[in-house]
Amino acid sequence: MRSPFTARPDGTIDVRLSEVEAQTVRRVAADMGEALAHTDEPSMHRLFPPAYPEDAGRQEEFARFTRDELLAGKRAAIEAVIGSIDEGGAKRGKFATILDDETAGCWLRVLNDARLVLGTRLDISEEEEHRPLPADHLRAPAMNLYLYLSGLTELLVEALAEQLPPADHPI
Amino acid sequence: MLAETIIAPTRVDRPEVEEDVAPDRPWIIIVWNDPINLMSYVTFVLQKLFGYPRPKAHKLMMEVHTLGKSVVFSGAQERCEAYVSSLHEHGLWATMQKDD
Repeated sequence: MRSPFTARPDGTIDVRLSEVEAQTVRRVAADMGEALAHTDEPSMHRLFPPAYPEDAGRQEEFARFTRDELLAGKRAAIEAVIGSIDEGGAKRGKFATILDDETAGCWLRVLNDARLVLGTRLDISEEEEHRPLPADHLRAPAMNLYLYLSGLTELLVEALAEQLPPADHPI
Repeated sequence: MLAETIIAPTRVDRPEVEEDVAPDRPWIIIVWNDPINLMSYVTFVLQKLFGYPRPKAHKLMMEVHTLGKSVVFSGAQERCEAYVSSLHEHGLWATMQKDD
């Protein structure tokens, strides 16, 4: 199967999804926007890890200087994703658009944030293999969405990795 | 003649020390393993943020994955804080501490 994300020579990313998939990404982004209004929820903690877990004073200062910016950055990324989907072309059930480097980065961060929150809620742990749950399982829809987003993230990383500039330091 | 001497290019011997190996670098950034971030994603973020070549980023990611954590950068406190903030923006579980 062809990846929905193709790195273009000009540094942009070509996106081709079914319209259903594009709307799924849009809904995930919108849900993340709502979730950011409740950052005190345990599943949201993972998005705001402490820089100084063993130094309450420094951590407080770090959070004071960075948390609002982090939150604003997440909100801006969500808006960029939703905007790119609303402005993208959709016809006969197919969605297509071209993302500049910055917007593609927003897609990546929003997809990954959504995976972090979903994965935390699903108690994802490294030991188990992640497979779709039986259809009648209470968490089947969330697990299916998690697995779908994981696949999408993997493919977007592949495309974006092709666009990385040459490394700063030689090996 | 004097003018020529004055405007002649002066050779400056810059110390050939990379920023990364300056002596006053008491802070380190640690990235911790988590079960959700994809291995390819972690490698990509380390390449993107630090400009590391892929093999180095991959090696650090594998340390995170197999040993539970990896020191991905060391430097001045402010610089580390800026990087930790970027790592958090990308959803990596990064902390920093003094390199004792």
